[in-house]
Amino acid sequence: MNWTFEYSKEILVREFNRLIEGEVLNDHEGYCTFSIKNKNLHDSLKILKERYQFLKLVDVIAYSSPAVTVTHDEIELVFILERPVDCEIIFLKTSFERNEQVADFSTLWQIGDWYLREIFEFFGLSNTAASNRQLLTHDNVKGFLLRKNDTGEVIKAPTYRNAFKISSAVVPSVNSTQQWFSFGPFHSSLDNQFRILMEIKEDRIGASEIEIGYHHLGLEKKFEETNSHGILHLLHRYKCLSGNTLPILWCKTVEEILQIPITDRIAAIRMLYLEIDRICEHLLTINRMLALTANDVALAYMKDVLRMFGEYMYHLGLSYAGRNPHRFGGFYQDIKRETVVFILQSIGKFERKVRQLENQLTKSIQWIDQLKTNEITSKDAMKYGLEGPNLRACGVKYDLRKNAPYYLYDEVEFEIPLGAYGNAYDRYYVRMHEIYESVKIISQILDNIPSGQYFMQSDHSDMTEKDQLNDSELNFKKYDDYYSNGPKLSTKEHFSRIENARGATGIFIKSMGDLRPYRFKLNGPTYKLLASFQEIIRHDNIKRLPLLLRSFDINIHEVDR
Amino acid sequence: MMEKIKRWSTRKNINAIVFGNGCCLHGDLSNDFHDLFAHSKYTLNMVDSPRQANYLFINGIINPLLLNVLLQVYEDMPDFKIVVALGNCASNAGAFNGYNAMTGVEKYIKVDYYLTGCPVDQRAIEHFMANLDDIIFKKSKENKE
Repeated sequence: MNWTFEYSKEILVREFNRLIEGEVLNDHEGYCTFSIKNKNLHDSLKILKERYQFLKLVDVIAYSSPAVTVTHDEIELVFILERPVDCEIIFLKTSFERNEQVADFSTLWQIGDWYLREIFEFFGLSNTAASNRQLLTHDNVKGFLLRKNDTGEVIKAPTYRNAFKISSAVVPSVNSTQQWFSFGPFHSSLDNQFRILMEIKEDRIGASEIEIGYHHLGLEKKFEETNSHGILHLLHRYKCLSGNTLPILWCKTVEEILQIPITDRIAAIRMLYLEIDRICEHLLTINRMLALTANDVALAYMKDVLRMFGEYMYHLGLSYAGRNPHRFGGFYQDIKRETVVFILQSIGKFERKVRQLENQLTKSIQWIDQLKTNEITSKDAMKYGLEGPNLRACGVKYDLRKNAPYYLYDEVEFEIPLGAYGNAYDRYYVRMHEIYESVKIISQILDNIPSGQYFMQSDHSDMTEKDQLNDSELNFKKYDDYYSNGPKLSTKEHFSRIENARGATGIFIKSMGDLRPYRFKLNGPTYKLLASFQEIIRHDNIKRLPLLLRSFDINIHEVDR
Repeated sequence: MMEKIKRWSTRKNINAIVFGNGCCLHGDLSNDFHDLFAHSKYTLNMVDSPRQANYLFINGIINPLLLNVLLQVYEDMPDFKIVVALGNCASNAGAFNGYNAMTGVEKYIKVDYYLTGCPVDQRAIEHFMANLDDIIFKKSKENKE
């Protein structure tokens, strides 16, 4: 792809202002925020995408405007766009009144359709694309749940969705050769519950549609009623398949909002946790793929590897029964010296075991043949909005750890493994080699782990240290206050992200100087994957569908929330 | 006589399905659970279809859309069915109780045993294993009536 690019930020601001009447609000932490009128929305998105190569739509966030009255209420939309070549992020803001319609941007990005549906079902903003259907909720929901002045109600009774049917497929008559069938939501080879309704031509998949919402909890609404400490502990519980990334990401977000500086030691330990997580996710994905094949030798090796890895998780306190070690500004307790020594001594053995496993698989003709699914070109991958290992398997070299380094990722040496064809085998191959790179990073971190504090206190909070608790009753009260209410979040709109095992995961937060966030939104890579999944599985063989699904490492909890 | 053999076989064999939606147990029964069954006098078979299963383990939060699927799965199971709610989320929505989470599914299907805790304690599962004979006995009595 042609990604040559010379525009600096100043030129962008000047030119964009000439093309579209708007204004630059502020320029904080490298994020430009453009404020435009809502009639110019489609034009400006098109200009930014085609002329300035902001190819990635990172997220679309809607929230009801804080200055809201009964007669005049506005919904504000924030578009977060990213230029992949230099990882520059800009915010695009518009506001809509309740009776106005959002311009259809699903022609520019495939994910646009799902974002439009989500905005419609939670805020009641209709759109010109005529996709005013539910995405996450169901027929028993009355009202718009995330509006601040609207009290939505949900009747808790079993329900169907009336509006769900295949749009492009013809329902077959008795004599027709077409077949269509539904896959999921309860299926033994489908770990995550969503439903695919597809048309079948001979043994190939034709048109299909995806129904999600079987896991929808209303997490965002719940988090808007919870203080930041509550969110941290809920996210630790909500890890499901995401490991420790979510609590670490939330800590990072809050630290950036409250401007708590962290030491190198904290950054290093967090990197250790993140890399351990990455290995865990990749191993489980490969394990799930292996479970569908009849390769007993590889399964035995896999069991061995997982048992050894379980020991690391246990020593680091990352097993599920363990308590939440993450705090704003560090950790609950420091990493033990014995743990460091144990991991350093045995990580070489662990890598050898993984290599043994790989020898069984990578060159095995049976394995290659089973994973020969449809290929995805790099251009299509960018269009679909793939992220993480799935994108790298298509040959696009994009990794937040390299492109926009956070913590100490610019100081460690590692490589980004790439695939060539973008089929299921390449996805397996990239995951396998990322495990080696993660092992490399872990041994580099632990070899010279920086000294320093493991917990930094913020200047904003009046929290006292644990040693002074017995000195006076006031100290105890302050300590209790901090841990029951959490820190006050200063007025800000902030977007923060890190590289998960599946791709870039981000949290958008709008806070109003309150204990609770005004708007909280999780953004995961699987959301974008599933939005364009019907294009990905089209023309693929039906018998390969379970393996294909597992090779993508789908985590439904990032989608449904 | 046939009745006796039938009861004996159902008692010793646990043909189970997990209606998981992503609890701490990674959507599948954890290895601990498997090991525990290995040491006891029962055998645990995970089957693919609800039509072959006598035991239904529910984990994770059930929302109105998923409840529909659960009811279908429950109907598909053969007559002798034992339902176990695994974990806080399945028992009473737990920490994630929100607008879309069902607080307990006992309104719609009969739950025989609750294993609460987040995550479920090992000792709770052991207690469940110890009481399994009683549960089966009670269940078969109910079925007769």
